[in-house]
Amino acid sequence: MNVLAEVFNAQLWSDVLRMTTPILLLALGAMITDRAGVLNIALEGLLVFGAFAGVLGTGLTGSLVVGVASAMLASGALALVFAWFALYLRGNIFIVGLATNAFAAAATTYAAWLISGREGSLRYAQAPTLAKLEVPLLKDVPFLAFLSGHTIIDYAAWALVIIVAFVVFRSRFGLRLRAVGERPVAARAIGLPVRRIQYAAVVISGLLAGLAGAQLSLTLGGFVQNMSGGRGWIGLVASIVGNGTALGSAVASVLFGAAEGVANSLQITAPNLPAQLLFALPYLITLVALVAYSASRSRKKGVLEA
Amino acid sequence: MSGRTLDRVADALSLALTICVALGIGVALIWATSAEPATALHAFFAGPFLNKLFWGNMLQTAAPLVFTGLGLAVAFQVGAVNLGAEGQVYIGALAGVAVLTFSPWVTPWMIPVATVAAALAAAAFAGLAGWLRTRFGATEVITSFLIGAALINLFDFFLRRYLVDPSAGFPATPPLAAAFRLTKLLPPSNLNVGFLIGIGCAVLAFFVLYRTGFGYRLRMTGQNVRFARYSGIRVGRYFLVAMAVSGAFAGIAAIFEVMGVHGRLVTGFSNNLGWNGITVALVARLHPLGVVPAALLYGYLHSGANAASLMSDVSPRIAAIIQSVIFYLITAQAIYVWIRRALGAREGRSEP
Repeated sequence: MNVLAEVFNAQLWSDVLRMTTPILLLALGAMITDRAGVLNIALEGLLVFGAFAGVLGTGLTGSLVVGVASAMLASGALALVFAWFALYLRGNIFIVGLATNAFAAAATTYAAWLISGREGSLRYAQAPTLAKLEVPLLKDVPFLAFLSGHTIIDYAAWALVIIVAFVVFRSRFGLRLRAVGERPVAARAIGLPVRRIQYAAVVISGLLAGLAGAQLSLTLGGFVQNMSGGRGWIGLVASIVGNGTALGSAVASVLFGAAEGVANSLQITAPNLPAQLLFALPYLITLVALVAYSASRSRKKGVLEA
Repeated sequence: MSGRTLDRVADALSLALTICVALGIGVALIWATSAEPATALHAFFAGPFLNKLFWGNMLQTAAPLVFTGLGLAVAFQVGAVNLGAEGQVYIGALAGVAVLTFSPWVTPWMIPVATVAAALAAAAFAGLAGWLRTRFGATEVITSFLIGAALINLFDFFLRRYLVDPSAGFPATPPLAAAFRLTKLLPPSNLNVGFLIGIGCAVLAFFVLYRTGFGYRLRMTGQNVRFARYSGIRVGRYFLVAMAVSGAFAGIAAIFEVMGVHGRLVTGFSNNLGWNGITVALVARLHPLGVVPAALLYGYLHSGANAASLMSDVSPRIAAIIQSVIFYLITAQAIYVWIRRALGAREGRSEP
C-alpha cells in the first residue's frame, strides 16, 4: 500500500517533471551538436554560466524576461568561445570542453565574490522567481494534475522536443547538420559551410543550456556553486542513450529526471537513508543506462579487444 | 636548424605563449578588480619566494599534482581519457585511512601498507571505467566521470557514517597517530617527503615509458591503435593497465596529502587534485619528466594567488581563472602551426 501511495504521489511526479526539464534541454542541445559531429563535453559549464547570468540579469533589472534572455545569451556566448577554441584554434575537443567547465566554475564564483562579497553564491532579495503556471482544467484531472503547475520553461522544454525533432529531421538546416556530422568530407565537397554549421549547432546547444540554467536558478531564486550537479553530463548521456533522436532523448531524460526526483523525495520520506547515497543514485543510473546502451549497440565499434 | 628541432622550438614557444597569455589575463583581472593592484601583483608574483612558509607550501602544492599529473599523462599516452581522477582521489584516501584507522599496529611501517591500499582502491575504480570500454564499448570519457562523481558521494557517506570525529565540528576523522604522518622537510610549511617520492616516481615513469618494451607498446597503442593491433600488441590490455595506473597515482596523491598535510580525512580535501592533474599532464606534453616543472608552475600560480589574497584584496580564485585559460589554449594546434610556419619561413629566407 505504501509503495502504491508513493507511485501515485502527484507531488513526486511533479518533482520528476521539474527535474527532467534541465536534463531534457541539455540533451536536446547535446543531440544537435552530436549530429554535427561535435561531442559536447562543455554542457556542464554552459549550464553553470546560464544559471549565474539568469540570476544576475533578473537581479539587476527585476525582470524575469531579461533574466532568462541573459542566461541564454551568456551560455550562447560561452558556447561560441568553446566552438572557437575547438574549431578555429583546433584544440582537443574534450580538453576545450573541460576548459569551458573549469572557466565557468571559476568565473562565476569569482564574479559572485566581486558582486556580493560571498564566494560561490549570488542572490538578490527583491528579485522575482519563475511563477508556477496552473493549466485550467488539467489541474483538476485526477491522475494528470501533476502536469499542471510548472514554470514556463518546463512547458517550453517539451515544446522544444517537437521543434528540435522537426528542425533536425525535417528541415533543410537539419539535413545539412546531419550531413556535416556523418560525412564532413562529403559535406564540404558539395559546398556546405561545414564550420559554420558546426558553430551554429554548438551555439544552439548553448542557448538551450542557458535556458536550462535559468530554470535551475530562477526557480530557486539564486545561484549556488555546484548547482549544476553533473546535469551537463547526464544530459549528454541522455542524448547518447536516446540514440540521437529528440524523442529518445526525451524518454532518457525522463528516466534520469525520475532518478533525481525519487532521490530527492526519498530524502524527505525516508530520512534514515543516507543523503550521500541518494546523491550518487542519478550518476549510477546514468552509468548503467550508458553501459547497457553501449553493450546493446556496438559489438565491435569502439571495443578494444583485450 | 633541422625540421625536428624546429618542431620542438615551435612547441616550446606555443607553450610559452599559452602561459604568457594566461598570466596576462590574470594580471589584467587583478588590475581591473583590485583597489591596490601594485601590492596585489607584487604579492602574486613574488609571494611564493618571500619566506620559508610560502616557499615550502608552493612546493607542497605541486607535490600531489606530480602524482595525479603522472597518472593522467600515462592514461593520455595510451589514448585513454580519465575524467574520474577526482573521485579516485577520494576513494583512495578513504581506503588508506580505513587501513590506518583499523590497524592494530601503530608504526610507520603501516605507511607503505596504507599507500598500497589507497593505490589499489583508486586503481580498481579507474580500471572499472577502462573495462567498461574494453568490454562493452562504453566511452571512458563519460563513464569515468560518472563513476568518479558517485565515488565522491560514497566517500562522504563513509566518512560521515563510520569514520567521523563528532568533536571536530565538521566532517573529518580524528587526527592520525603521529607514527602515520609523513616527515616534514621544511617546517613550518607543509612540505614533506611525498614531494621527493613524487620526483622519484616521475623518473621511474620516464624510465618505464621510454626505456622498456612495455612502455613502447603502451605509447604505440596511444599513437596508432590499428598499427599497434596489427603488430600483435594486445591494445585492450594496455588500455586497462594505463587506466589502472592513472587511478593508482591518484590514490597515492590522496593518501600522501592526508598523511603529509591534513593529518586526517576531511570532506572536500582534494580541492580538484584530479582535475588539475589533467592540466599538469597537458602542460607537460604528457612527458613524465615534464610533469614536475608543470606541477611546480601550478603550485606557483596557486601560492601566488594565495599570497595575493592574504596580503591584498584579491580572491584566490584568480588562479583558477588563469588555469582555465591555460586549459583552453594548451591543445590548440593552430597556434603551434602558426609558429611552426613562421619559424619555417624565417629559416627558408636565411638559406642561401
